[in-house]
Amino acid sequence: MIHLLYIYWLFLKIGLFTFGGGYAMIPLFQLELVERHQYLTGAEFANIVALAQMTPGPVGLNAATYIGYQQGVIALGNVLGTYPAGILGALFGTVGVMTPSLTLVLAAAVFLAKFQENKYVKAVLGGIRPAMLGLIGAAVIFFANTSLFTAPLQSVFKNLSGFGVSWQALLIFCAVLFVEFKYKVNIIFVILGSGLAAWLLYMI
Amino acid sequence: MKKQLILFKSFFVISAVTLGGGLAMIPVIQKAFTEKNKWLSEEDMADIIAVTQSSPGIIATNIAVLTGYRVAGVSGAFFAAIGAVVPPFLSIVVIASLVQHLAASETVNHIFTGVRAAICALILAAAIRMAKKIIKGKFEIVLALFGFIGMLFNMNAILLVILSGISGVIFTLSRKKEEKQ
Repeated sequence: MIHLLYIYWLFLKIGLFTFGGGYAMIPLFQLELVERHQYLTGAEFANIVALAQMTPGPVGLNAATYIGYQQGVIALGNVLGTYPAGILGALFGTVGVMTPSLTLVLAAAVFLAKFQENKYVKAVLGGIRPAMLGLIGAAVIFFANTSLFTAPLQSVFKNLSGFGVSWQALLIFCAVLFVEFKYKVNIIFVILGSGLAAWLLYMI
Repeated sequence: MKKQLILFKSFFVISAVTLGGGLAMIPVIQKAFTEKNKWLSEEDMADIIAVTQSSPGIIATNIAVLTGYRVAGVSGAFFAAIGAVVPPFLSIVVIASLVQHLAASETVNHIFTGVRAAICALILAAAIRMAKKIIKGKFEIVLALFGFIGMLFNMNAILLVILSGISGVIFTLSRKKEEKQ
């Protein structure tokens, strides 16, 4: 139970310190859940982001629900049974990440009619937005480690021979980047197409 | 109570059909609340979008809270937010319980490697689009580098956000002083 309260607190923190939603939440999840607490591996997290993109609802909310479920099963699976424990964990994660919306944003709506025109709010965001951009840029490298590179990019510095690139993944990466900028394709088709392409390419 | 139920139902439906969430919801909400029900004016809608973009947390639930509040007060905000959360919650719980049973076969692994490569490209594309909007001068470049390097070295993310917010205030205040002189 204490573990679930901690999960609630973790997601509350992530929700509270993310501005701009969606992709901005990904690096914070990465740092807190993958690097710091090691609740899941980088590859598992990247899979969750992909699943979150293909299901209704925002990525951050979906990831919180999913990871909450997982942690619920780990913490209370033996006591409550897999499904009830998972659902309870999912509730803690979801409510945690929503708490800033239901408290701070609601309070801003009630008390500050012109919240976004406040000069301090503007100044703070002027600093946070570019930093978030840097975080997202670094998240690209973490995600590349789980797909494009057969050994993490950082290990190049330690051992040059241990470095390898999956050409199949690199090909898909370039194709998706090209499609994203050239055409406006629904993200679900992009992800399904990439999975199909990988299946075919790895058979060669 | 009628308004609250309509809010719940509208956000339930909007959340269930908009994949990827967030800002994709806005045109649908606009249609439902300014055109069909006439509960919000175009100005209200513009305000909601502006506040959403400077608030912490999930964009979709922020939009639901702000819209619900304008239409029916605090209870409206809660009904709208719960409506927006239920469909993704149910779908993820179902997926999470299924994934536990999926055996990790070689083929599944290969497919997901491809999917992860795609996600990597999608995030890079999003970062490039964001950079075009956000980067205006040296200050933004320095802070973006700070975020990038901090993340690579696993710096505490919360501390990173707080420090960048503080430097935003210092930068804005010092620039105002220069303008005055």
